[in-house]
Amino acid sequence: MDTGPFFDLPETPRARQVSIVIPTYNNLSLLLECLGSLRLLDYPAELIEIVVVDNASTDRTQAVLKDRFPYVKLVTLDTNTGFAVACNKGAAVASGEYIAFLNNDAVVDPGWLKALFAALDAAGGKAVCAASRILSHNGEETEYDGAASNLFAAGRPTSVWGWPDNPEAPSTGSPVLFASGGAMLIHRATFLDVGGFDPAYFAYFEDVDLGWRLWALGYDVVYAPDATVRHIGGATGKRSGSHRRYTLWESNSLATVLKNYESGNMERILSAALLLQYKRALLSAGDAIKPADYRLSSPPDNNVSNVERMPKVSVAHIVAIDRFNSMLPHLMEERRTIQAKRVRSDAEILPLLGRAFEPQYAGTQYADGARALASTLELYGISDILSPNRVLIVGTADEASYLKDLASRLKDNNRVAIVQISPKPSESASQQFDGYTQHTLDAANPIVVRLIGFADALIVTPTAAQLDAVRSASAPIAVVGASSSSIERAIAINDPSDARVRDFWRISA
Amino acid sequence: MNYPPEPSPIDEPSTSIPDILTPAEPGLERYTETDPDSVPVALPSVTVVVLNYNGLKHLDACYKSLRELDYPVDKLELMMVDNASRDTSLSFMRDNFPTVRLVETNQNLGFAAGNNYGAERAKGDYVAFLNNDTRVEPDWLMEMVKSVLAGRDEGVVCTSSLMLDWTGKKIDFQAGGVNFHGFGFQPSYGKPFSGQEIKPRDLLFACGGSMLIDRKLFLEVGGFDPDYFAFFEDVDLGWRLWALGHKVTLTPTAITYHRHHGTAGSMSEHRTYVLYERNALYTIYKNYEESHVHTILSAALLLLGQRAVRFIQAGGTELTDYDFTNPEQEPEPTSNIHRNAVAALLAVNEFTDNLARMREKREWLQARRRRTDVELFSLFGQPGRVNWINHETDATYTATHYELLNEFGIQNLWSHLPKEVLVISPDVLPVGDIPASGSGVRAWALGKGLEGHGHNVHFTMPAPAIQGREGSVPPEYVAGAWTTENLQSIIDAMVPDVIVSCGWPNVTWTPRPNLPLAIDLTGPHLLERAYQGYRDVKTNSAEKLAALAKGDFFTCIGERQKYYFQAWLAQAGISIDELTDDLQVIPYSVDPKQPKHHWLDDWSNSEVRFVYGGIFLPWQNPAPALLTVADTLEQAGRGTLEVIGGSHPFYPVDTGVYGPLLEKLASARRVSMSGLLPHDRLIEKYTHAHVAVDMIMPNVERELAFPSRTINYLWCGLPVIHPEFSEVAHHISDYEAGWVVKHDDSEALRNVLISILANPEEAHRRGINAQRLARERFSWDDTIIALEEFVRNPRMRSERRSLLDQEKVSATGVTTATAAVQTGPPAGYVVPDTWDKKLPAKLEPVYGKRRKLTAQIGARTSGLLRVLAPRAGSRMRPVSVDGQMRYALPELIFGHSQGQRFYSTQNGLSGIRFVISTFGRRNMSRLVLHIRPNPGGSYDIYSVNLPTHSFKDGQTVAFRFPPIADSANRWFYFVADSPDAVPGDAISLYAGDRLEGLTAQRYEDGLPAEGCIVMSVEYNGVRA
Repeated sequence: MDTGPFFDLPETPRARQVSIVIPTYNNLSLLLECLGSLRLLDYPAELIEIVVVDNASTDRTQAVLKDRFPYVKLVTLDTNTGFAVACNKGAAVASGEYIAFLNNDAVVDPGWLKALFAALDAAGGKAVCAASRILSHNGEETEYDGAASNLFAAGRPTSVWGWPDNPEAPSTGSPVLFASGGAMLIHRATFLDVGGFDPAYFAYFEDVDLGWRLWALGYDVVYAPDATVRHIGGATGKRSGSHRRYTLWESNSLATVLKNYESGNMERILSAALLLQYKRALLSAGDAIKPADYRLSSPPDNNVSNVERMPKVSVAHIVAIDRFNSMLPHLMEERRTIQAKRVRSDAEILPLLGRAFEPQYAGTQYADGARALASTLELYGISDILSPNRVLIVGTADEASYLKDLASRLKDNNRVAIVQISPKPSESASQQFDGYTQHTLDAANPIVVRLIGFADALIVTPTAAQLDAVRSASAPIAVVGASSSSIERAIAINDPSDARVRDFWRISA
Repeated sequence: MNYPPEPSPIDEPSTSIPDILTPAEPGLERYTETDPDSVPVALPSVTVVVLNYNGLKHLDACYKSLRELDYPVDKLELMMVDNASRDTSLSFMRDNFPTVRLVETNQNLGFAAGNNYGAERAKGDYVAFLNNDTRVEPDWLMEMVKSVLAGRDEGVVCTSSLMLDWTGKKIDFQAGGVNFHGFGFQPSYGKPFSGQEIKPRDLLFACGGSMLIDRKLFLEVGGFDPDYFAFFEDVDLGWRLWALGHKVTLTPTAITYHRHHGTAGSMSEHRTYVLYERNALYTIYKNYEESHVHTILSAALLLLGQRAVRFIQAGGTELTDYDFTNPEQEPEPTSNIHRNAVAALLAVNEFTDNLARMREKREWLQARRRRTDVELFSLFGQPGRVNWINHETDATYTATHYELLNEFGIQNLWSHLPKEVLVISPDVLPVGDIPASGSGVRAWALGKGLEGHGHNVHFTMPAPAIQGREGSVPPEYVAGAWTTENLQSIIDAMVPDVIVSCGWPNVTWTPRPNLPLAIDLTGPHLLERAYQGYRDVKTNSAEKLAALAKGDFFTCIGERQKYYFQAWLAQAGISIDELTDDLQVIPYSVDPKQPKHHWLDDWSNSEVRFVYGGIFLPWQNPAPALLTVADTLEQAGRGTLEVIGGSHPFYPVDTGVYGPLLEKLASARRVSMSGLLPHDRLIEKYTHAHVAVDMIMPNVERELAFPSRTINYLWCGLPVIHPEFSEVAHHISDYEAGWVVKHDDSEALRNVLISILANPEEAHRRGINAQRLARERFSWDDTIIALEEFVRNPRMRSERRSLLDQEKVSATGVTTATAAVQTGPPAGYVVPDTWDKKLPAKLEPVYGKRRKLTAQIGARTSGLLRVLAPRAGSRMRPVSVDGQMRYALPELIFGHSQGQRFYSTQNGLSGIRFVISTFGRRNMSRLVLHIRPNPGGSYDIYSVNLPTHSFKDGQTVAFRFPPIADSANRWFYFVADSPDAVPGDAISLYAGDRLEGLTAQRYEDGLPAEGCIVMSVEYNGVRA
């Protein structure tokens, strides 16, 4: 059913009117660098409009812009209304057919806009939004190369697209769940029609929500890996305490769950998301909380003031519930609109997610608890509509035949890859077999980390179980062919034909 | 038999919430006559299981009463399960009650598993669970057994005893309810008991402290869930039994006396809070059907977080610190939070960790369930009841509660069930034998209209309004009357689903009640105040706006008023979207059952009786019309006019033009006058009169006001002569229910009068039409619909919602800002800020001087205090302290508390000073002092535990704590208890009649009481 209300795009690619919308707050020097990079864009200047939305900066931003950049359309806001609102205001006054949202602390490559349009054109009709590749200030690290999210709408800036056949980043025009709001292109009328960024989010994850909503309403979001942006500041959020960012992260991911999942899935996922949020609140408090003080059977304590000191980051998880509750009527109204208009089911969107149960909190105790909870609440039933489980088999070259045997058992129900650890970097290779891929890589190769990071489950040999990358994995691990394991939480399976191997990530909980 | 206990004047229960204000008991009426002769021949064997943990001091009383049980010895097994006590309970039992079977556990298994342990080992067909801090009547067991046997065929397997306090004067457990997220409550707790009849009924759950259950079945269904350890396991068991198709009842003739919280009272509150929060989650997760469980669990988890947030704030943390836009750097890595926030967090984590096990229990139950969730909601009592924490600051909490219920569609599950409604009347209700005012009649009509739709409505009227006439009013209304001091307490004790305040002035006395509040805006009260000369316009307006902002739903009495009030509500911050739905017109309404009008068959020997009735108010001017009538009748030499009325019976309202008018009418020969009449007698007058002269001169107030007296005339079958400008004039024309005349056309009025005198039968015909009009347009069961829908699905306006609405992106990309002032009510009814300047001449008060009014109110208030004082004195011992008369409050022993709610006027509240009474002896008990946000709240801001042995009588004790930064303009609750004190070894506090410089309400055992604890407060270490 392709009845989505998308806008017809022209058949032959042409240069289109575009408004570059830059929300800014008190970062004048970075903003000037950003504006400087836009002058070098390889794009017809007459088709570019630059809109700066000033979120009530207290520095000289407005004066300098008026004085030195008369061609910039300046929108001034009375108070800091947040990223989402600033973008929406910019979009409202923009005149371009497309809008490119750009962070004030980013500088663009000259080919940026062309590459974004190229990705839209490559993907075809339903693609209305394109994501850039975002690099760190020195260009050495990738901050965004396609996007993903876990089942609970905690977005992540890298995608699992192509796993395991091509562990490199996705290619031009490949679908992604969302585009980073820091540097993206979107068809303006569509952006306004779907409601823009949700102003309630204030900041963080509004782009996850927008992407999810676009997919639900029948549009596509695509990746433009050649549209490169360097992130030179990266400091807007960090000026606030981390507990303030946690408050936004935690409440906004709940909001995305509430708005975008179908009825039936939403209630189940929301209750699991809440239980996990409380779990993170507790675990992040570390030793600050002594559960014994809260047991009826414990001896009386001396805390007569009944006050505890708790880490703010931990408290932020609970304050986020207050914030979510305050958004509730608004979110439910949005939810009703989205659900009434949706043309894609959860089943069609979830394959874009990536690792459904990727833990939001580092720590195996949390990861194990999350899996157990997901099993009890039958979330695996929902995740069945994800792409097949990503199972990674890790071993050494002299175990090759054994690894292949495992892979062929698993390939029918899972997406399977083998990493065969080789001592020499020069021997790196990928080989395609019937139904699975085998990578030969040295243990230090970052692709090993990437493959492990995106796997839903690991099956490793006792030798591979010693690797640091395996030991720090958050996915469930089965050690096969061994009587015991050096990884305490792994399950040991002696017989590789054990039925549990096929589906062990469910029972490992 | 010591039941019912002899009442003793000394121990008269303190002020309690009267019957009329207590929510109806949940549960279906199931009246089963138990005939003593029909006792089955074969009595079942029963094991009485008493669970004991360090309860040595309770055992003697408990087992002495069990030894007296009137039950065949060969059918009775007495068992004590000792939950690994550390005291000498076991040896005491061996020495004193050797026939009792002692069963020991290895460790303290908690209440649930401990009782299961006993049930597993019991020999009886039935098992009776009894708390150790109780004693029972000799027929306790027999009554429960008979009641279960009588109901077996209907599925009864379990019954609850009636539980009274230790002295038998107050109810402890009579009915149990549970709200949708699993929090149990006891709606009758603390209600006075004087042997009144309590009917047997179905209950959701039997009180775990005294109940009887089929032992085999108990074990089959899993008993009390051992994962609970303690608290709410009885709620869960009852819920499970009902879901499985069984029934649970109350046997009111089986009586248990309970020392309340003999065990639980000594536990730390944050520790018990973990169990309450966790167990409530267990209960809902196990018991709801698959189609509801995840929705309700999500809502419950969001509310748990909202409660935790309150405790985060209670610890001194400002939420603004977590606001992303907060410009302040916060180097401090930790926040201070109240322990209950941590408790909530631990509770939910324990729930998560045990979820897999709970799921097995859930699946077991769901596979066997025989009743749906919706069937069970009728047993909950108030499924939507707000889990009460702190009414002072929890508008956000209750708003969230209702938003979740409504947005998630949960409230729909029980919208068919009746709600508990409290109607606050600003004036005398039409009950008893004293005159009611229009606003009292209005309140009555709204309440009766809601009752007609099945709701349980409780009325309260102002105590000062019936002062001195209490004998003419039914006692429950006297006892339930409100004062400015007790209104909040009435609300707190009742936790109604909805409050209906008739008029906004009622709610100026309370903070936002934090329950769904409907305000009926019966008339342009502000204009009335202006006519009365009561304060100045600016002060009145500010007070009105503050009161309106507390409302969640509004009704007014006419279409014209709607436009007038829309402007006010918009100014009070209610958004335009809300105004469309949340301001509805309910015309003045009357009973669908109408009085019979007495028409004459033969007019030849009778006069046509014209009548005018009502309170004399300064904004009303019937003088031209009444003088015309008097004159016309005199000229015609026929007909009479009776003027019934007088000045306002309670409020000191000026009588305006009535003084001079009455003087003139006094000399008119065909006019008679009588004073205000009680409602019934007024109706009697009206139904024997023939035509109502309902003419009044127009002014701002009259054009907006809805003529309630007109509807009363019509309802009585009186055709009215009515002015053209009035809102109901067109109805009167349409129905030919009277005659519509221009207010200043005395010639037309004269002609109407002459035509009536000439042809009274026409008046008869129009009188019949009048009743038809009243029935078709103004019957309260029809007019109430808009309010009834709000009561059925209550909601609270969120103060936070509008923040988001301001930034919505519309389809055109233009931001729509909510601008309340841009509403467009029809010209003529908007009252701008400067309205007083426009109408100075008309609004000039005649007599109502401010000073006079203040003095009158002051006199009434001190009169009220005088009424209270003798009662207070009768139960306290007067002593002279610091040269003033003080009263020692009763001994503060376990299970009791003395508290005082007081208003802090400054920031930095840091201490409370009060005076100790030692009863002239050295006491060894300990005194626990708490400072809490309010009496309903269950958590301490601070508490301290003091030895009492060094206290001297009359000594002032200061309870000091770290300054509470934002204490200004908030209520706090100071409460003292002494859990280890017994009579003879206890201290107390001194009280007096009133306090200087501190607004306060005394509480005894958590309920409002007379007098005041002598206390003063300190701010930032300095005595105020």
